[in-house]
This record gives sequence, structure tokens and C-alpha cells, in this order.
Amino acid sequence: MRASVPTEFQKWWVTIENCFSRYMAYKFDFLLTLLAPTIVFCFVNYSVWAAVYRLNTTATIGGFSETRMLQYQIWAMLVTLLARSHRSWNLSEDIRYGRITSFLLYPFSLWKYHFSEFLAFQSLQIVASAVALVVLASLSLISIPSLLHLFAGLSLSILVGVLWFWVEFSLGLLAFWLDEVWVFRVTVQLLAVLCSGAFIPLELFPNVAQTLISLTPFPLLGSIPITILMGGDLQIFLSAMIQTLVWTVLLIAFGVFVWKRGTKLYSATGM
Amino acid sequence: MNPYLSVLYQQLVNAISKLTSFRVTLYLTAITDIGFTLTAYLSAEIIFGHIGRIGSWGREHLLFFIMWMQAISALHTAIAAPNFWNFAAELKNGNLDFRLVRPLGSLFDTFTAIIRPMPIAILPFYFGLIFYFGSQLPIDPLQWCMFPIYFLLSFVVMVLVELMVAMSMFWTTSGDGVNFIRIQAQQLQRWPDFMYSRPLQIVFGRMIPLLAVVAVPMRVMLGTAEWWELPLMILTSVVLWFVVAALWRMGLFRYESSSS
Repeated sequence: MRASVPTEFQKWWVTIENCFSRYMAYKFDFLLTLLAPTIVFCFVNYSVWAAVYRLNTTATIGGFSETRMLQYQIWAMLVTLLARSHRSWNLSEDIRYGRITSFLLYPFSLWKYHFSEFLAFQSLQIVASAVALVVLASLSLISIPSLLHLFAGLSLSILVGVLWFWVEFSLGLLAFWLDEVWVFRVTVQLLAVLCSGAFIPLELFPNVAQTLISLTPFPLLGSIPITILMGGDLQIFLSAMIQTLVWTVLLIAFGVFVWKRGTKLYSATGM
Repeated sequence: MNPYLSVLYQQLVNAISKLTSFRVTLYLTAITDIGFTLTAYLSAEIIFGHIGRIGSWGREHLLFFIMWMQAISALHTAIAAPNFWNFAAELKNGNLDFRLVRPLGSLFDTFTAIIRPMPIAILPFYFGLIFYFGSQLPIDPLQWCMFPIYFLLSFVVMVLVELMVAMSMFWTTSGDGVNFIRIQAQQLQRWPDFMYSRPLQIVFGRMIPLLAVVAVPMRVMLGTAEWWELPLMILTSVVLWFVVAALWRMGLFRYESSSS
């Protein structure tokens, strides 16, 4: 029998609360996990680009002045925090060690559990990003073109975060067939860093590469939200939202397909 | 054979046996490693597509540096990286206890428990690229003869710094965050030291020799290093070894087994 809406909501809420508690059990450790990768990534990118301009006495590179490029790198950090931080680390291990058996019996499925985990993580990321945004804006390291641009860019980044969750979740499900899934995750991460324009703006890529990358969801993970946040044409916002939704639906379909095929193979010895 | 070497040998044999049992993983690991190198290469190419030089460095300098770093990363992925994650897990689940009772040095046993042979197999590919880009630079043949020693020194310093960071897991209980910091330290190392601000060069280049890992031996090969840079790096690595050993003893003293 289908659970009523309040019961279903309660399950989600309790799971999110449990995830919060788990994250907060080792607060310092979690803080490092939450912030360190993105902050260091930004710091390295910022230093590299500052050096490229400083040591080259170049006024502009591919139309980017030094100030604009450094602001780009800071926006890239904020977008990455919201859009590309979640990792389904445990999923593949849970599948390999047979821990998902309980989810086949619980009245709360595996994807719901992981999505609750994502929501808990994402809410903390939103708080961290908001704090970072206020600090960076007050230090004049970034300029906010308008509240509309800010709202559009951040809401797109948050929606892209959902897309990223499904990328991670679908890759994790491949553990039904593979011993080690981390290789896929690392490969996608590497591609995402390069092809999203989070380090090198896509405008600096050769034209052929730009065209090829525009056919993939990678620009949604960096370049497009950053362009909006830096005061770009808001007309791209609507098309970016539609693209994100389409890619998310495709990934959900892929995830469901992999899950159905995988659970047919799955056997948990000793359960 | 020396017992430590025979343990390492057996670990390698077991790892190869496991890897050849899961061949898809083997191929995927190779693809990931090559993809990693390709993205680093493309990043440099795209940047140099717009500028001529970065300071005194041209495209070949940066690519030589990047490939050296990639080769060290490959060796690190093979021998060191999985053991840092394993150490974090064993601290939590109490499996570290079993390492403490084995007739081996516990530090050695803990950090050589897992070996991934695939990145070692790819090393010749990286060495080929190092020699390809290095041959376009004015490097003395004698310095090329010294390259294996410089390469080993780079690797040793990198691992020692990471071991020092990893020792803090004894105090943080959960080691995942520390492992993230360790990985971020590698991100710093992927660019030459002169691209960072002066204070950072002093802190992360001399006091904690993160940025020196490839930059110093490379400058020595190019003949542009100060006379004291290489001796300082060697001295620092010796000091780091004693620091790691002391921290390991302090950590074990603090360690409360969760399994017993």
C-alpha cells in the first residue's frame, strides 16, 4: 500500500536528520571534507592565473582581463560548492559488501536514502556558499551584477547539483558489475574540471572543442552558471534550466535501468 | 631476501593476481591514468595557446614539469595513496590492532598494505613523455644520469609530507577530512613554485617542502637552482622522516582500539 504524504514526508525528514547527525559526528573532519577541496581548488586556480598575468605582462587573455579572470575563478569556486560537491562514496561499497539488502526490504528505497543524504549535504553547502559569498563580496573580491543575476546563477547551480547527484549515483550503481567504481568517478571529475570551464574558461578553448563541449552537460557544471553570475545575458538562464532538467531526466532513466539490471544480478551471501 | 622486501614482493604478486582477475578494472585504471595526463597536457596547451611564456618558462618547461609530476603521482597511486585511505578506515574499525602485533615495523606494514600495480605498468609511458619534453630543454647529459635519483627524491619527499599530514588522523578520529587535505596538497604541487606568492613559496617550498617536490630537482637539472636548494631538500626529507616516526609513536600511544 502506498504511504500517505505525511508519512512519506516524515521518512524523508527523519533520514535527512540522521544524515545531519552523521555528518556532524566528526565536525572538524566534515568541515575539511566540505570546504577544503573547493577552497584549495580556487586558491590554486587563483594563484596560477594571477601568476600567468603577472609573469607575462599581458593585459588580456582571450578577452579576459586579469580582474575578470580572477573574479571568474572565485565564482567558479562558489558554483563548484553548489553544483559539484556531492559524492556517493559509500554506494559502491554498500553494493559490494551486500549492505543494500536491507534497502530491498525497507519501505524507503536506496535512491531515496541517498537523495536524502544529498539534501542534507546540499543544505550545508548552501549555508557555506552563502557565508563565502558575503565574505568575498564584502572584501570586493567579486562584484554582484544584480540580484536577478545572483538569484538566476545560484538557483541554476543548485539545480545542477541535482544533476550531479544523479551522475554520482548512476556511477555508484555500476558496482553491481565492477570491483572498483572510483575510476569512473575520477575520470568524470577530471573531465568535469576541464570541460566545465571551471579552471580554464571555455572561451579560451579552440572553436572545435567549444562546439563539441557545448553538446555535453559539462558547461552546465561551471561555465554557464558563472557567465550568468558575472552578469551575462539572462536569456541563457531559461535554456540552461531546460537543459539541466533534460539531462537529469536522462540520468534518472539511466539510473533506474542500471538499478533494475543490477538488482537482478545482486546476491548478498550470508544474509 | 630481506623480510621487508619479501613482504613487498608478495604484496605485489597478490595485487597483480587480483588485478588480472578483474580485467575491466585494469583497463579502466589505465584509461583514467592516461585521461589524467591528457587533461593536464590539454590545460597547458590551451594556456600556451594564448601566451608565449610564463616568466622564464615556455611550453616545454611546463610540460616537462607536468609529466614529472604525473609520473610521481602514478607511483604514488600505486604504492602510497590506497594505504592512506586504508589507514583511515583501520583506525576507525580497529583493524590497526592486527598490524601492531605483526613481526614487522608497524609504520611499514600500515603504509604498504595495498599496492595497485597498474600505475607502475604505465610508468614507462610517463618516462617517455618526460624524456620527450626534457630533450627540448637545455639539460646536461650528466643531469640526465642523475634523473633516477632526483625522481626518487621527489617521490620520497612527497610521501613523507603526506605521512606527516596523515599522522593527524590519530587525533581527528575520522580520517576522511585529512585525506582530502592530503589530496589538496597534491593540487598545490601540480604547478611550479614560482607561480605562488612569496610567503607561500617560503611556507610550502622550504618549511613544508610541498612545492619543492618537482620544482627543485627540475631546477637542478636545468642548472638554474641555487646551490643550497637540493641539500636543503635532502636535509628536510631526513628531518621529516624523524618527525613522522615521532608522530607515529605519539599517535600509537594515543590510539584506543575500537576492536578490542
